Amino acid sequence: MNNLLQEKIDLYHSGRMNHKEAKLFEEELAGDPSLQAESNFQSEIITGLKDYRKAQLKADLNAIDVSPRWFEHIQQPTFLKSMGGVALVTLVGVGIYLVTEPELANSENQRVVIDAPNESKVDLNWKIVPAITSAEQMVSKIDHTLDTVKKSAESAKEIPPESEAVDINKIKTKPFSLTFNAPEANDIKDDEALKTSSLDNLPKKSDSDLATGSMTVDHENTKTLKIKYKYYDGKLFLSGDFDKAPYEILEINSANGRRIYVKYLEKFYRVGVTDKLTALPEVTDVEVIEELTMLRQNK
Amino acid sequence: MKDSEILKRISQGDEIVLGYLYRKHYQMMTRVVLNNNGTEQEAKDVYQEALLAFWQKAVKGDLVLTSKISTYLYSICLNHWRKELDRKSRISSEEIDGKYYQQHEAQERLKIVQECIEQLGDVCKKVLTHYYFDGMTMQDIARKLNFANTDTAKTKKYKCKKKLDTLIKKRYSTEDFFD
Repeated sequence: MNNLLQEKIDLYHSGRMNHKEAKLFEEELAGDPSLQAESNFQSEIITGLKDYRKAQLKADLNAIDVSPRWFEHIQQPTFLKSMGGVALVTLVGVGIYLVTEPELANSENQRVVIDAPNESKVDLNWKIVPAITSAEQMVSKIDHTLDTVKKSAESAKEIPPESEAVDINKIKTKPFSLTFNAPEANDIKDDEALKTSSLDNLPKKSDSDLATGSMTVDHENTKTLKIKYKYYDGKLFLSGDFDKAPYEILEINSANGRRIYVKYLEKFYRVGVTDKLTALPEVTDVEVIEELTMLRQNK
Repeated sequence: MKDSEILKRISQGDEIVLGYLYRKHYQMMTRVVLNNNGTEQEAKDVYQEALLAFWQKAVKGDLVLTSKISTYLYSICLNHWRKELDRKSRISSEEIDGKYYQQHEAQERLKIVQECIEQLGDVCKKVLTHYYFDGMTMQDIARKLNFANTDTAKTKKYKCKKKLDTLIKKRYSTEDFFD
């Protein structure tokens, strides 16, 4: 068989002939049994070569690890179903928690209130702290304090001698134990009864309360007699003509909170909380003025 | 890696890209078979056949993609599996007695061909399989196997083919396959 025929057979079986060439070759094959035999032989060889290569490539592919990686698990339907289940359970759990949370919060707030014996009266300890506006006032205040200390020492000396003769060893101390009868949770039947207590009537802090704790005072001299102020975070800032007339600060601490007044040019002004420079509101209530005057005199 | 780059590298016979594609689409492609009453092994076979069919077309440069590679592969897998299901149903219904002997003889001859290919050297195997299976041009084979030029590749192919023909003819004669 010549090389040209061999090449034709090769091209035909390797799929490199166009449609027209293939048709012509098939006609040629049909009329030549020896050519057909050779073509069949070559076909088997080429099929064998293709299978060999395919098996080789498949072996290479089989060597590749195709187990899904972590991010490929996400695309798996089973994984999505599982995650959906977890998400659903989480949502239900959160929902139940949110529904029951107010009840839990209420139960935490329902503290057992025990009525304390209301034997002692609440002593309204009015404390008047006049503002120290000059060195002279400071000296007089120190002198006053020293006098008070001396008087206290002298009164201590006047204690009857019997009291000095008391032998501390003879004092019989009664052993006692502090007991606290807290109500059992099962005994609490009427929650309303627990909620109402005389202690509940204690004065509550209101927004208008002035800040507690130490207070610092600063001022600015201006040419106007109209006094202005700012008060926030325990800082009182005054603006006015204080060279002509000094100001006094009255601080009243009571169970109802702290009240601050400023006395300036024989008038009382009430200090409220504000962070804007505001004109001090004058106290016009006669009773309050009298009270403040009396307190100033008794200081 | 973009589809265009994959095709470009496959046309150069880059087998690393074949592995990359196989790994990338394995789960999706095998699901075609697994979700249609196929076993894991059948799914793997179908996917490999589909991927190699794609590879052959892409290397030859016959492929004009109008969709993504994954879509194309999916359609091949689906067709392969339909054909396989059809073949299975035909096998179960038709009489195979007469054909069994012919198939057995063909398998014997194919086995001889495979054994003879194994006797070739590595270069011959590569030249012949690249030419006949991958459909590579002589120019591509020369470049891939670092031959001096295309003519060297042609000469090599001719000699290797001759050698293989001789080996197979000799075996066929021994096994009495020639009339």
